[in-house]
Amino acid sequence: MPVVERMSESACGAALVVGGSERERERWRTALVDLVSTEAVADGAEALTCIDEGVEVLVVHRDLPDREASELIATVRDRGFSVRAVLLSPERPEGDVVAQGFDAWLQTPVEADLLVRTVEGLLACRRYDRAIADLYELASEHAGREADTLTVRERIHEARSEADAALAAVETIDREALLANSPAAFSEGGQ
Amino acid sequence: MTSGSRTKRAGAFADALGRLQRDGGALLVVGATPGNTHERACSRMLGSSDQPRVVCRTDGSCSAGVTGAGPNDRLIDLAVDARSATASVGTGHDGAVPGAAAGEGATRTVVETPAEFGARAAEAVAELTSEADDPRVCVDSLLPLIEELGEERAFEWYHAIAADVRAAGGVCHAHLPVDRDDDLVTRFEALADATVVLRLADNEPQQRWFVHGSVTSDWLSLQE
Repeated sequence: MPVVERMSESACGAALVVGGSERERERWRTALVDLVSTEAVADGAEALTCIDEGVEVLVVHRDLPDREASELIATVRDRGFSVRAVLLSPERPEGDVVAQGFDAWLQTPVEADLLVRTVEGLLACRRYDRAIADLYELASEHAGREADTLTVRERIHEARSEADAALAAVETIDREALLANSPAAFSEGGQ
Repeated sequence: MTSGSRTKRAGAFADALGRLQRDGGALLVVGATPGNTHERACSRMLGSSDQPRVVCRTDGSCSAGVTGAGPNDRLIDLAVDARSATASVGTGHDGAVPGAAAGEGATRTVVETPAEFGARAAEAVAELTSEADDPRVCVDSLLPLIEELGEERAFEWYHAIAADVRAAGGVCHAHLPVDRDDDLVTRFEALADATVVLRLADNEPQQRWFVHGSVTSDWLSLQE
């Protein structure tokens, strides 16, 4: 039975801290808990057991005991969960972290404020993911039909305004990761 | 149609166009037209080459191409073909390359991934916004992006550009050289404030504007 720290078996939080020492995990969890419901687990297997659709952000230490951090992110997405992810590493990661599926990386030891700001940025990315998916769905619903009715236009305009506002909350510096790690990139049919 | 109603519609169209220019907006330029129809439309929408502009090139069909670039232009090229060797050799790929090849004084950046393409475009728009009140942005064709990314991600890509430019009070346009009744157009129209349809009528390039929720223009000649 996996050990999930400070959480019930059925209630994964909206952010999930994975890996690091027990003391580090608790420090990172405590830093985030005022921003977002946060839980912590020791390794990838526990993360895969407890993850659910409520988890929006993964905070993953580079040195997981049971698998590569990037492999965990890929598995989570393969299972259909839309998450944004930050890598915690004691040294600069080799290669392009965005290409490895991460939206950001932070050097450990990490200041609590910086961790909070980074996760806040990733939550903003998730809000945008949802808003743009809603807009695309609405636009697709009407493709091939007579779409130019007032009601349809109003609904599309409203959905677009929401997507515009969600995008405005995403820092420009996150834009490459925003586009590269869009949930649409990992969904069935995504390229 | 009577000349009175035609005049009234022309007036309403001029008002709608004025609002778009004043408040900013995104355009979708469509039409599977031969020749340089898209290029003509593009050169009018981009405005004068004296003003700062961002041109996101996927297939090089934009009027502000290598020879047409103005001194303040920022050209961002997606090397779709090449992951390739050819696009990166000698162009300082992944970097800003000022110089004659991009138009005197223009800055050219070549990138390899659509995500990076989007990020550099966002940065260029942000820089432009700090310098100019009326940024003009062109995406020369959405088709290579759709091919590369799929429709949904290309949709997201253009939304990000269009929203940035609109928020800055500027005007951006993207070319989608397919017929207006194509499903692609219906989807991407959700991102635009107006659709501009191009056609050749008796060899004369023409445009017709559908300002969403507002007015539709007559077929208008696209002068060089």
